[in-house]
Amino acid sequence: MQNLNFITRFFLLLSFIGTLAACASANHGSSFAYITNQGDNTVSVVDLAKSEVIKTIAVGKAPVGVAISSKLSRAFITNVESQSISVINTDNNTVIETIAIKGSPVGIAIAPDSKTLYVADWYSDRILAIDTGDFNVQRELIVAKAPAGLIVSVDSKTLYVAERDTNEIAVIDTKTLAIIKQIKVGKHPFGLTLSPDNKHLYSVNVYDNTVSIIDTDTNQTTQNTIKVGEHPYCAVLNPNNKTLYVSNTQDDTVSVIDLVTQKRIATIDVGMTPEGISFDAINNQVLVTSWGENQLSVIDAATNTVKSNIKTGDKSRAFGQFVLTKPR
Amino acid sequence: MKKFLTLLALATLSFNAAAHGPSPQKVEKTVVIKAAPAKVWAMVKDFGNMQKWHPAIESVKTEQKKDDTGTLATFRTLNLKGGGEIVEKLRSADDADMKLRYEIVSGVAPVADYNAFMQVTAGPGAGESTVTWVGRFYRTYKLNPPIPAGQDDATAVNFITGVFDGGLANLKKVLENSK
Repeated sequence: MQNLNFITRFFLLLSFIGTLAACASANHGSSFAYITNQGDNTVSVVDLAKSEVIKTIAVGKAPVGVAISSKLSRAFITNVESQSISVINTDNNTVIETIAIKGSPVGIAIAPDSKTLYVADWYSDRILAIDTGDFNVQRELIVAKAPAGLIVSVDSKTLYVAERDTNEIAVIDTKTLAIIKQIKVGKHPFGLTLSPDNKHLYSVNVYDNTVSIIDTDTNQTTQNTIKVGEHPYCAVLNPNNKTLYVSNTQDDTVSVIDLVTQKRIATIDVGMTPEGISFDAINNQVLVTSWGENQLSVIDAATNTVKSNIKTGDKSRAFGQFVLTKPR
Repeated sequence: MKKFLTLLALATLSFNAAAHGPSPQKVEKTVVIKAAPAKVWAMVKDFGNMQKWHPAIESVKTEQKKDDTGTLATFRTLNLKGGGEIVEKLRSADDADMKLRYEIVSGVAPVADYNAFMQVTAGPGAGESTVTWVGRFYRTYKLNPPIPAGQDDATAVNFITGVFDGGLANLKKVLENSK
């Protein structure tokens, strides 16, 4: 009896180890961050498993926004002061093309199907829709004042644009480029993020230090707004859909929000002026740039503590989703 | 100092808080002062008496009033030598970190959306203090290029550099000469 018990336990233990190994292998692969450095006109490529910069790529003037397509092996960078987009081949980390843009490109996002790249022109209130198969094929529409953050729905059918100076989010049909709805949010929406199930859109409102929650079925804001830190810019969700991370540019922190209670559960001190924020699912960590300290801070998502600060280039921003994941 | 006043004379545009450009600028300056941190911090945190150490300031007037969120806050009006005013709001004065945070509300400075901090730390030597002054702001021009002279990044950065360099040099002088 005693022996049987031992054998049972032994096999249970074996199967437990097997399960652990299966879980770990599900997350296998490698991940890289593409960080725009406004002050020295470069992009730092960071190997996220090693926490080190593996390459620094020269791009256009004052790079700010990033969009990544793992499918196409491309990183797209907006160079706002030289009015262009740098196209990086992520297989060898070289710039393969520079697309001239009429206007001042800041926000950038790629549709999940990787067919269309969307770019926001800061001053002319224009959104460009660029065909990734042929960069000369471009469509455009005019939105409300100062388009900032962009994000595309999981099915690639809807584009959301934060219209900073009118305090609204434009909901756009990507097929017709028609504005379906304008949604009122808090003051000066800048960054946007979507939940992994695509049910909720989050708008980061710079001037009233809040995050608005939008139900994407009804295109209406929910009752509650979430209070965060001073002058928040960007947000990202944990893929578990339970935790939201927000960069607060003027108190140098990241707010960690529990989405069940919609309350702040932690405030993490990071470097001066944190801006771009992304989630690295491979290594279960939150990545946030520091414009003021020229670094990328790595936060352990299990403990909400800073694991390391990686030196990047001058004035790191990385506005947009900046993590590239490669399956093993 | 002369350069600073010249820049000031050029700065005819008024500050607009509503919108700003796409590329924030930064000026960061430090000075080492032969004086105890507590003494340096006492002068730095004295929000209403900046004329005691900044050579471009004639006089300072402070007032308590509600800010645009309805919260009671401390404001100061800097009257500049050679004319012009800059109105600033105190964000915080943290004794533990010896850190003062403030922003520009309006005035003649050729910058937009300006906020800054001054921080005092002990060292590098015994009885010495280091003062770090960091400003983050935008140029005043808010349209696509071409960007007119006087409203560009260089004008904004040069102006703030002049304010910081002139201010820190004199802060050092005033503190090291006082007993």
